[in-house]
Amino acid sequence: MPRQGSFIGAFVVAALLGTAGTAAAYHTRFVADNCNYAAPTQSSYITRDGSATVALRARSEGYQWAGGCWNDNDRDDSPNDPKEDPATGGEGGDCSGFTFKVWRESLDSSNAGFYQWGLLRNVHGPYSASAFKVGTGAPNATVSKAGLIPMDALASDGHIGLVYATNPDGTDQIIEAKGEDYGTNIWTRTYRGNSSYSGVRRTGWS
Amino acid sequence: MGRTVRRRGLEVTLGALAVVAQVACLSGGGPIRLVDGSRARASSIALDGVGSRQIATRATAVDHPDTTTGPVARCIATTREHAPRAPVVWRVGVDGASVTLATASGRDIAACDGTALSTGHDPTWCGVALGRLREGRLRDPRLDLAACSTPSADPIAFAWVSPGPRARYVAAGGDGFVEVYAVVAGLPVRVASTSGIDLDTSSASFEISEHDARGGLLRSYTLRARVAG
Repeated sequence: MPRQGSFIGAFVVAALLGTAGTAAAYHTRFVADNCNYAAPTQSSYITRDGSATVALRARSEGYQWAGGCWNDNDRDDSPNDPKEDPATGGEGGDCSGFTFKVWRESLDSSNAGFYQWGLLRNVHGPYSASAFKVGTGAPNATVSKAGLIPMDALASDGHIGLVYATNPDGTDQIIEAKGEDYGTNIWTRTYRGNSSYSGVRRTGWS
Repeated sequence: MGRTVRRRGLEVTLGALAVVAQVACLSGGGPIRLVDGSRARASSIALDGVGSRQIATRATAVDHPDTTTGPVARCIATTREHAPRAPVVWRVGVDGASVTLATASGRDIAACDGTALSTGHDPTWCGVALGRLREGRLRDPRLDLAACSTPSADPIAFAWVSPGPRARYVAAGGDGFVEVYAVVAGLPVRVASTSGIDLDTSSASFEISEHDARGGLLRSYTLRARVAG
């Protein structure tokens, strides 16, 4: 039995070493096989509850740098993509792509209208976390962190997450596309008390 | 007073190095002015393999960012990187200006991007970018295309080029001309372009070439960047 364990261990190590050398060539078929470029549906309004529903459908899905396409099967269909590589074609949004889609924004940053993007529509949007942080774009504005309510966001120069709920101790439950190792989910965070984070709001909620 | 003099003495205007000797006013269809209103000039270094009109951009290395004022100081305040590593590099090109700095930890590179420098007002940085270094290099060029636009409201894209160790100049293709950027202090070079932008995919392509100190071509490639993170 121990011998079998060591064989399996050696096999795993060999497999990992084998893939390490080819990381640059890594590419999943998730986007190619599942995603589309359909036009969004324009809407005359947006509600915070509606956006929370959109956000929750991304829960337990994957994370893809520069990505914006995911399904709703509660698993990461392309786990362990190489990090910060937009070309790996994996499932999920990154933090800013996830926010763009949940906030139903336009690719035109001067347009504050509401655009419902399909779950499998591969779209990231024009904003990075840094851009959201300073309220870039017609739909976005910076607001006091003390006044944040669900579906507002906390953004730093490197990350953005949406407030899902606030805990009694002042921390927040943040729904966010966290990273390749974690995917998209809800975690308790202290972003609100972190000076590198700003409060950001999508404007125009009904 | 003495502090001011010392600071000015230490701020090396590398643009002067790039525009020495063969400075020539541009004629024909090239841009007449840089984004700060100064006259656009032909690059003094003739870059191999670059057929278009070569325009020198200006790069200023600020060795004491803690005592500087003006646009660089405003960038430091904007990024909240109050103790960046020296030097901080301030660039002025045809359509865009930028500041690039390494954070105090040395783990990240930050940039401020701007366009409206020739309005007579103090320049305001319209975009900010943060790039994480892995083993000393950026994995992602940190494309910024939402924050800024030209005075005529056209989109403009900013991204970092990470030149190879022998590169002393980076050339980035524009619309009928090529901007020449001096590589400074081994920092990534923030380039700006109004061409090659695809708003539908939130991406941009930059035609890049890297050159040695004599202008010899080291490599040329298309930098494809997507908004991310």
